[in-house]
Amino acid sequence: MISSASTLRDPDWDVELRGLYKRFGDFVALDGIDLQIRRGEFFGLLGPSGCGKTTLLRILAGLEMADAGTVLIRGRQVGHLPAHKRNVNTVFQSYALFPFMTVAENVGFGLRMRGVQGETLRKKVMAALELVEIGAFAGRKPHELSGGQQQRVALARALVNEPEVLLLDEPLSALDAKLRKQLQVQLCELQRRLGMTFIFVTHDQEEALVTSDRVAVMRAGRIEQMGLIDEVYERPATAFVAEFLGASNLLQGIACGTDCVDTPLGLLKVLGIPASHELVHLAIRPEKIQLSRTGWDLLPNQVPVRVENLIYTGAENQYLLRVAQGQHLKVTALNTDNEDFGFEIGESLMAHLPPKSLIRLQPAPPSPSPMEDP
Amino acid sequence: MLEAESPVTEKTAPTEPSGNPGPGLQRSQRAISPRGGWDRRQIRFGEMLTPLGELGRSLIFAGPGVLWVMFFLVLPGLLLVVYSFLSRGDFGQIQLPLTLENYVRILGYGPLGWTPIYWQILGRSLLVAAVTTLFCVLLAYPLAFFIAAHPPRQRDLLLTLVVVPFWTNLVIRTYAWMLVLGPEGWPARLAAWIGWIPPQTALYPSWLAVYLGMVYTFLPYMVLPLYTAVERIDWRLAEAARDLYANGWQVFLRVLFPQTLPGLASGLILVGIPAFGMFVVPDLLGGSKTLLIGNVIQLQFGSSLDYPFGAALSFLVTGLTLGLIYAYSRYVGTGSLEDLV
Repeated sequence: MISSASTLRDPDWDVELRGLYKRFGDFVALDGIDLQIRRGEFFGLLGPSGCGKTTLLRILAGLEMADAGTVLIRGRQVGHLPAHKRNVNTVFQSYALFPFMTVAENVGFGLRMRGVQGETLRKKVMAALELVEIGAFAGRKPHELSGGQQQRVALARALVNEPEVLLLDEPLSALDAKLRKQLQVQLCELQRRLGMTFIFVTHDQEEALVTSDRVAVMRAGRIEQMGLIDEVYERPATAFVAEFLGASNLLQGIACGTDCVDTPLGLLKVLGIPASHELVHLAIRPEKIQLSRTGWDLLPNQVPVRVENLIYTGAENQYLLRVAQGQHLKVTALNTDNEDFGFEIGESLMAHLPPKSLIRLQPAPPSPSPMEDP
Repeated sequence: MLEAESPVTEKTAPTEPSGNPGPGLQRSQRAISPRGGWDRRQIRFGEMLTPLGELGRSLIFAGPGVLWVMFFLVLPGLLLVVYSFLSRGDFGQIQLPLTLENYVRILGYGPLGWTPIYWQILGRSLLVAAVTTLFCVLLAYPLAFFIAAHPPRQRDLLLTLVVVPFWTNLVIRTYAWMLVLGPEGWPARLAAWIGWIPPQTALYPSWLAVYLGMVYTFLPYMVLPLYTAVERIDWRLAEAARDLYANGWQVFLRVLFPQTLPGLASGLILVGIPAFGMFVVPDLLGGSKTLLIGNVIQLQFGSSLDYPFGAALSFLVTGLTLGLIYAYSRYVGTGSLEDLV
């Protein structure tokens, strides 16, 4: 059942989803998704496995049909169209390259299905292969290529059709970390050059941070927060987002007057707290907390801590700090040669939680803890 | 817009092992070279084996089977070749002198002048084998997909049903077809009712009966390998094809069908070759007009008591079959028969 209301729309929206609902048996995969994606945007769909992000992508591709809701692509109702009638292409997580075809045949498949032949076909295929730097492998079979090369073939096979929207379903998850990082950057450059709308599904928050202009963080079939990537990172709306996108220290306290919260760490100054006595949920990023042996004069929000554990990762140190009241704080410090780096386990320090870095979260309803993808 | 030159190309060097020659290549090549450097003879089957130890082990494990094949297949086969150059005595005994007469007779030269009879029978046998195989393919494809579409438990049941006929002897099953196609059976009555055959006659002997019996006999040999291939189909490829604008028929033809080719190749061999030499079914369900090469050979070793001529025919059929398989395997592109069967 697809509702047929196609009302006024922003001409810049490439993709518009309204009230999307999808169930598999008893499992609700999508529970009312409203989403708009601009033309030429690199849009990240981020969430733990089972949150519905891949289902959402498959509904856009036409590989699943929504139980309810509207799917508009460039203002056209496509919810009822099967995959092969949609001007949308997908880069699959498994690549799904045709093993019995050469690279060139794989890339030319979509064009051939649309009746493109001969020299035009050959030229377009070669241009797409050159675009992803695998022109030299046109005559090879997919199994003769490395994982990264196969990934490029999958990308070329989708791009060559010049789709209205390109869907990418965790396309880099099968690659090793170094190659993945390299391809993330190349993917961004490619997207910017082509001006094509990319929708990128990932469970890897770092990948989303590197690639996406805007993201939607999903959880249990709903969108938890949507916005520009830096906004979502700097101002997470809920504890789930604060912990899923990057790391966070979560605190709870009772408001004790304007800009004052009584927490287990003591009274903290937090911006934007009204004079009331309500329960307040707070988050602070580990890299925003400052450490010092001596403490600071005249700075609020200083907490005495002891270094309980330390992980040296080269570029930064990750400290696990124990606060006097039995609470813990995670802090990361960049590896500089300043004196506020290189504390030892067992050392007693002062931690500074800058008021503007303490983010007030919306109280979220309790829900199952997020499961990480393998 | 895709034709614009990529700035990505200029900026980055490929790092995959088989990339363009570039700064990244040498490093990667070094990384994979140790794999090629291993001495493969030293570690086999996860153990350190000397060439001598390996030979001993092969003899122990493969010896009995090899001996069995030698004594019961290769030697009798060679004996057959020898027979084919000997003569038939007046009472059916095999005797000297050595002669090429048996082969000359197959070519059609007999005491009564030249006759193409054996050529015709050979051609007819090939045709019957081909038609039988074709119908088996047409019937087996939907069946294999049908079975594979079921949950595992039901699949086992359906596969068992396909195999059930094997539990009974072929001759008995063919007699059962004679009952089914007999004058009292409903197929014959139906045929009589629409005026196709006179009332109270059987539907055999006829080509229809022969083909019914042949396709019935060989269908499982096509279904089983095809099912194995269908079960292994990577359906994600079908989704990818749909995503790339292929409609249902194109998805089957271009993405699903190629994945079933290994099964089809086995099925063609498993059905085509035995169908070529079949004699039980045409013997019981067909008449003299449906005499196939298998029946002729059977006659030579049976009522005609002409072992040398039968041996010559057998040798010819075997040679022809091997030749066809060779040509087929070259065409299919596999190097060994192992890949086919």
